[in-house]
Parts: sequence; structure tokens; C-alpha cells
Amino acid sequence: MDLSSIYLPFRNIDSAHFIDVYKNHGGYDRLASLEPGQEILKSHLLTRYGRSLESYWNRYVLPATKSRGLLTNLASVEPGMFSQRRLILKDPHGLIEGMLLAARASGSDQGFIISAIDDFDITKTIDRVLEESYQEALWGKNSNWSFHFHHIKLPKNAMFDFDDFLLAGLHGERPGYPNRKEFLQGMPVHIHRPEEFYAMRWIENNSARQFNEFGTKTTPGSYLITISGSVKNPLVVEVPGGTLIENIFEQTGLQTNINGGWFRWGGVLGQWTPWHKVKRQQFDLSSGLFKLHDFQYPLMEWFTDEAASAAKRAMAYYVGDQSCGACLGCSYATSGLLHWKKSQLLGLKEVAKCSFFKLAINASIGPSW
Amino acid sequence: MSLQEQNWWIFLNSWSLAIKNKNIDQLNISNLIEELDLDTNLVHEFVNFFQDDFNLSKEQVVSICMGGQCRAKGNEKIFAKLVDANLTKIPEKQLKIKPVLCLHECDKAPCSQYGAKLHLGDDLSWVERLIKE
Ligand code: FES
Repeated sequence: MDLSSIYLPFRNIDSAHFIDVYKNHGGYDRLASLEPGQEILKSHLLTRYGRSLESYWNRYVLPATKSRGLLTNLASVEPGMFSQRRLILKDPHGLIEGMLLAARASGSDQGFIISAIDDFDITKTIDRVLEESYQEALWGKNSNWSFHFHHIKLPKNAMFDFDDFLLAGLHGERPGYPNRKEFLQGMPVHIHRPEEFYAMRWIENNSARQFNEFGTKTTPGSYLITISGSVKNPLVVEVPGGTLIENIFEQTGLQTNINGGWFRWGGVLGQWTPWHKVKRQQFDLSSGLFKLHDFQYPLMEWFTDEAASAAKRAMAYYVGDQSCGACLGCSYATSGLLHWKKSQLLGLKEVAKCSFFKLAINASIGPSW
Repeated sequence: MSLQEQNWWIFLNSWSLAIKNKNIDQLNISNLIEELDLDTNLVHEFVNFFQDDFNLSKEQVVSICMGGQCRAKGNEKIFAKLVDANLTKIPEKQLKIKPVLCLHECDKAPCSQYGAKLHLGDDLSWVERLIKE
């Protein structure tokens, strides 16, 4: 195991996607320890909305006997995120081990993995690793604790992101999803991006203290971020909290003396900032510019002015395509986002009912179309 | 999971298998509804919703990624070029040109897909070939 990488410690081990090789290199060892999950509980890993794991998991006050679940969505359509599928295909047992450890830490007894029904590589891989881990009695009826996985395959274009919007769809509360099914049956679930489970595996196998020390007080630890845009070499890096933005981009070949262009953080519905205003800032997930909201994901981009306009047009197309159509105003306004004037957009934002629409309006402010 | 839910997943699996094996036309939806005791309206609503995506013979579809990375690296022009070229072709020779949100190979942008083949990066000779065909 290569301990210098939090998210891909098995990257130099051939065939680590098979359970025998994975286990020979220490995979799943921590599950057999006396109280797995304790290190995760001590870590300050930041999760959804820049919240600590502890505060996110504790947002429900639930009796210990009440069932709860963990959910990860591998089916989301997230432009720019080429990293996620590759991580999972390379080390699929990492996801399962991370989820099992997180289940111990959070007291969950159900795990839901959502994948796109037409993404055969992913669905096949997840089916296989679930079967392998089940046969090893790591979960399911033969294991010595109560935990069940459900692999839910849904059409990709009916999915959206990893948050309440998706849940509402899965709960059948959101119109426009013909595949609505109430499979969660109102169960409280903790939703995490897949890479967070990889971080939890590392934390549990090493220590929370070591993880926390990578970053700063406000952003402890190191986070998996995709760097892309008009840069020469887009890449995926582990970024410790507190790193200067221009230093992150240096690795892609972007020179530090460049002052022009636009920076976007959060993916297609991310926020635009002129590059010169952000390049000397520190990466801080917990506040201000870098806090991730609903529908946003860890993608950092730098664009030339011209490319920023093209990326914004891509955003408008995306928003029109993904708008749920639940309210007329939203579907009307989002499908023609680029025809509205800034003042009209701000007015629409005031009357917006859902966070998707609000974010779309925010994402349309910045570079010209 | 309730029996009803399990049956729904069984249906989804048969449906996805049929897509994978390109024999969606042969999937007997009515039989499945009956066997699995599914809600007829729900199934038809579902199947119709995705019909356009899967009914087309994939061989004739050119999917052009219209995600931010690919647009920033030139896919808007490629899309326009192919659409223009299509207009000059006789209907039988026309291609179905489809914009897609992301092909998940963004670091190799600009990305497109023709049939099963992904075209990644700056080598755009495939576009010229398609236009001439
Ligand atoms: S944006 Fe084109 S492949 Fe992702």
C-alpha cells in the first residue's frame, strides 16, 4: 500500500481490484479490529456543505435502534469529472471497504450504491465486488454484524447529482422522473461522494491525527480535486487544505505570472471569479468561495476569456437539459438562460423556489456569453 | 425491499440487458408487466421516456460532447460543421448528430463518439472523413 496517497494507495499494485490481491495487501483488515470506525469519528474530514463528518451525521437525532443508511451516487452526470469512474474502476474494493467502515462509524445498517444502468463497466464491477465481499462474509446474512448493500441501477439521464434533489427523485417526490420508486422508504440516509469513502478507509487504516495534519485548522486533511479548463494538462490531485490556488494550477502547466482569465470552482454550477482575485487565495473548503453547495462538486477550472464563454454556454445547455420542470418558471427560464439580461436574472433569482434554479442564476453571472 | 420493488429492479435489469444486447425491440414489455405484476402506466411512461435515447441504431449516431471542457476546446465548431455538412447530404446518408452533456473523458477534450468509437483530442481527421462519406 502506498501511504503517500490517501485516495489511491493501491495504485501501484497490480490487480488490486480483485479481492484476494486486495486482502493480501491489507485490504479489509481494519474491519476485523475490535471497534472499527473509531478513527473516522475522530477525523475532521469535511463533507457535504463544508460540514464536518460529525456534524453531518449528527444532524438527525435518532434512537440507536432506528435504521439508517449510507448512499453514494455513481450515476450522476457531472461534466468535467473524469476522475470518479477511473478511481472506482481501479480500486472498487476501496469503495466497499470505506462504506463498511463508515457504516460502523455512523451506525448505519444499509448501504445504497446508485449506478447508471447503461454504464456497464461500473455496474459490472460493483456487482462483482459486492458478490466477492458478500462471499467473504464482510456483510450480509453470513457476516457477524447486520449490514446490507443494495446496488440500485437507474437510467443515467434521470439522475441528478448526489443531494436532496436526487433523494426527492428516489423517494418519488419529484415529478419528471418516470422511474420514481420509494425504495428508501423514508429511511434517513447519509449521502457521500464516493471519494469520501476512500478517505475514510485511509483515515481508519492510519490515523485521524495524521489526516488532520495535512491541512489547516479550517480545512483539515487533503481532498481529491479535479483540475481542468483551458490548462494544458488537466489532472486529479490530492490538495491539502491551505494550499495556494496558483500552486495547485502550476502542476497543470499554468504559469504563475498569468493574471487574466476566469476561475470556476464547483463544476458546471460553480461560481465564477476573475483569476487575479483568486490565485493568491488559500484553498479552504469550510468557508466563503470554496464551500460546496447543492449540485456542486470538487472541480477547479481556469479558462481563458473566450473559453469561459464557451463553458458558460455549456452550463446553460446543461441547466436546460437537467431542469426538472417541476415549476414552469424554472423550466422556462433555465432552458433559455442565455437570453436573459443580468437584471432580469437577478429578479428571477428572487422568486426562485429551488436551489438548482438559484445556483443556475449565480452560475450565469461572470464571463460574458 | 418489498416484493413490488424487487420486481421493478428485475424489470430494470431485463430492460438494461436488452439495451446492452441491442435487442430492445424484442423485449416483451407486456409479458414482463404481467409476470412481475407491474403498474402498466408506470412501465410505459418509463419506456417511452427513454425511447429516443435507445431506439436509434448507435452506429449512425455521432455524439458530440457539449460539456464545458469540450466546448472550451472546440466542440461547438465541430458540432456546427457536422450539422452544416449534414444539410448537404441526401436523407439516407444523413447522420444523427446528438449533443451530450459529458463523455467522462474530459481530460482528453475535445471528445466525441461515433458508433462505439470514442474520438479524443486534437486529431480531427475523423470529422473530415465523416463529412466526405
Ligand atoms: S466535458 Fe466533454 S468529456 Fe466531459
